[in-house]
Amino acid sequence: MNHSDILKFSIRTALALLVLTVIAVAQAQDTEGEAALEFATLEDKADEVVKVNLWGRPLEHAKKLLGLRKNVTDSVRGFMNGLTAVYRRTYRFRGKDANKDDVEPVHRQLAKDGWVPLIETEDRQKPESLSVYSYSRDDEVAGMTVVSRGPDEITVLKIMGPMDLEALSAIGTGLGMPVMNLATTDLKNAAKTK
Amino acid sequence: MHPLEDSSVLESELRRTLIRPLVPSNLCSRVMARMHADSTTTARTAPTRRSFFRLPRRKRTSWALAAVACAATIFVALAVPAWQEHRSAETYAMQTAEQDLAEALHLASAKWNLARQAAFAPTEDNDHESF
Repeated sequence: MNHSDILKFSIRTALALLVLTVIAVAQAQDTEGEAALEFATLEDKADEVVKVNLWGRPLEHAKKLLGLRKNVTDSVRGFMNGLTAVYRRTYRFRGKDANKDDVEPVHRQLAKDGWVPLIETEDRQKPESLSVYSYSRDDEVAGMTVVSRGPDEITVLKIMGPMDLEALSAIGTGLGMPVMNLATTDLKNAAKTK
Repeated sequence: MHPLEDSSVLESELRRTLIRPLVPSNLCSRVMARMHADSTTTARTAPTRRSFFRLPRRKRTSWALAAVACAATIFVALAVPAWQEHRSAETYAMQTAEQDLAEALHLASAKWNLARQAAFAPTEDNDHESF
């Protein structure tokens, strides 16, 4: 192998690496809003962590199974079919409160990933807050993230896919699930009693 | 018979019996030749190991069938439990995924309704901030 061969080989290798890098960067930009939810400080502080990562084949299976439930309406089924990923993180604390500073890294990370706050509510009397973020791609809402903080629980829920907010609203009663113990129930009660 | 005559006969018999026979001069070579001949004969008549491909077709087929049957039995014995385990694990994973999805969507819906209600409900005294 002479000098020119080595030069050709080096140039070809560099070009191949460049192409691969461009593809990787494009891929990363495409899935920017779908970045994994990892919050080390919250994990260290929490006594219990629930992690759910649903995408790809498991999500397809789950959608199919869930779609078979008889009380699922067409709009809810359509909403579910559009989902591409669902991530959930719940951090539970025993004997210590989750304060406002604990959720700050979550908000920072979401802002950094291009999420826009849609609704932010906070109870001044109690350590409770609820934020809803949206993510847009090509002028369409491509995802929604909910960050809720209760006295002893912080939940981050990220849903990727076209968002039909009316269908999402109807899911609450459409899946035949028992009423969940929501950390921010008092916000709802406060709104009702006004 | 007279005793004397009898004793001479006995003596001659004894002499003849006790006389040391002379070893033939070519005994050694004869023995060696015999041994060589015996070994050659034994080698020729011993059963030889026959190759599978030299067996008759019928025997070959039966041996091949037996081998296939053994392999199939071993495969079934090993693969079926593994496959069943894989299936049950997959079913469990699917059910878990369904439950996770249902919970996540239910939670998202509930939180969304809550936030929407808190943000857009007509209230006189806003006890909480709405953005």
